[in-house]
Amino acid sequence: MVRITSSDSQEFSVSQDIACQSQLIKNMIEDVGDADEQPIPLPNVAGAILQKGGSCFPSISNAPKLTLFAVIEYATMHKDDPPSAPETDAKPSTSEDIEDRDKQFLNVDQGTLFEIILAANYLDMKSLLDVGCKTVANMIKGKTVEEVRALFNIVNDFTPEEEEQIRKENEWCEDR
Amino acid sequence: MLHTNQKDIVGNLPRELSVKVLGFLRAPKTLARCALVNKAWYSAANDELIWKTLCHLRWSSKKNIEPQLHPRVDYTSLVPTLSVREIKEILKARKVDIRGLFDKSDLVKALLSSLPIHSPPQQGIQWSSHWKASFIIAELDAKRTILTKDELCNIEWEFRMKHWPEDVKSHAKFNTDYSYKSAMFQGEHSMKWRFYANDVQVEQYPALSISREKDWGVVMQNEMAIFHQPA
Repeated sequence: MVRITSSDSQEFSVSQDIACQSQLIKNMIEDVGDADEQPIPLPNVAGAILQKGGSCFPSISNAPKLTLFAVIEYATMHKDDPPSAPETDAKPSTSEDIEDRDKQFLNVDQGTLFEIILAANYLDMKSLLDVGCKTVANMIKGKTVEEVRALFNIVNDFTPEEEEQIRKENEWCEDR
Repeated sequence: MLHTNQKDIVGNLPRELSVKVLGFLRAPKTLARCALVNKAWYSAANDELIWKTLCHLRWSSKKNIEPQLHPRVDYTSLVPTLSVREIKEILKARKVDIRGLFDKSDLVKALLSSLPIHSPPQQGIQWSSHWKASFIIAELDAKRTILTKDELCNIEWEFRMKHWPEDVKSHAKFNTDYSYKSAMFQGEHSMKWRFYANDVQVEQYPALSISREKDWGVVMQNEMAIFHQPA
């Protein structure tokens, strides 16, 4: 077992094969040698255990923020995955390539999704980072500019002149 | 709908992660829309690497395109962001002789004065990235139905008469000295070709009009004959 602590000093005990899906933790364990000795601190990841009783990872908006917990859950779900085949330049993966269980797992509010992506990046978990980013990409797909702004609560910070300039450059893309 | 939890995920992520998100879209139209959302999105949606990947994916199955910055982009608005190496590459693709051009300012001057003829009109466009400009110009250029002399003469044409059986074909070559050689007319007196408006004419035969195929290959044909770019 490996012990890891979140930024809010919560300690988690997870098996090594799960913890080592994080390249960061894997490197740390290799560097320190014996992982049993002391907990591995992850100062950039909040622990945020769910209220007990909450099922694994609910998408309700008052669920506590991120979540080493969620990341561990993801790693547990994927612990038996074969090592992913290297991507080829000829056919890079797109946002379509996302497993149903991952879609389910990431069906969370935007704040949580944001934190998961940051945590996956910090922990160096490529597959989680990829599905997180793909999930956001899928939210954008097929939407108009106004719909994207509404979805993410974004204020347009362009002047009308700037906007006109960009439209001109993009004219061909819209005609397609 | 819960508004309290809405968050501009793309705008708040570190830039390399915003780029990663938008990089999964792989659709020019969607990326173009993303560029209009706000300034943070604009920066990520015009990322060179995203568009370079799109170019390579799109171009790999096309004819008449090299995996490099497109020579028919008007780079005027992009000059400050171009490296000497990139400028040299573009000039090379435009077949500009760069021997003797040592200063960047000389290279820039050559770059700005060498936009090839028949390039798509780009006046007033402020390009935001090299590869996005290349992507868009390549799409427009793929519809061009007028050839330069170099282009016409560089192609080893596959040629067939339309009444021939489908699988029979011959070869033909348009030379820069305006001579025309075809495997069909070997030994006879040399034939001449010329541009006839936007078309190409061999001797007094009906002019060949130019069209483009799905794979961006060039086709020239009249009532009797058809010329293809080989695979």
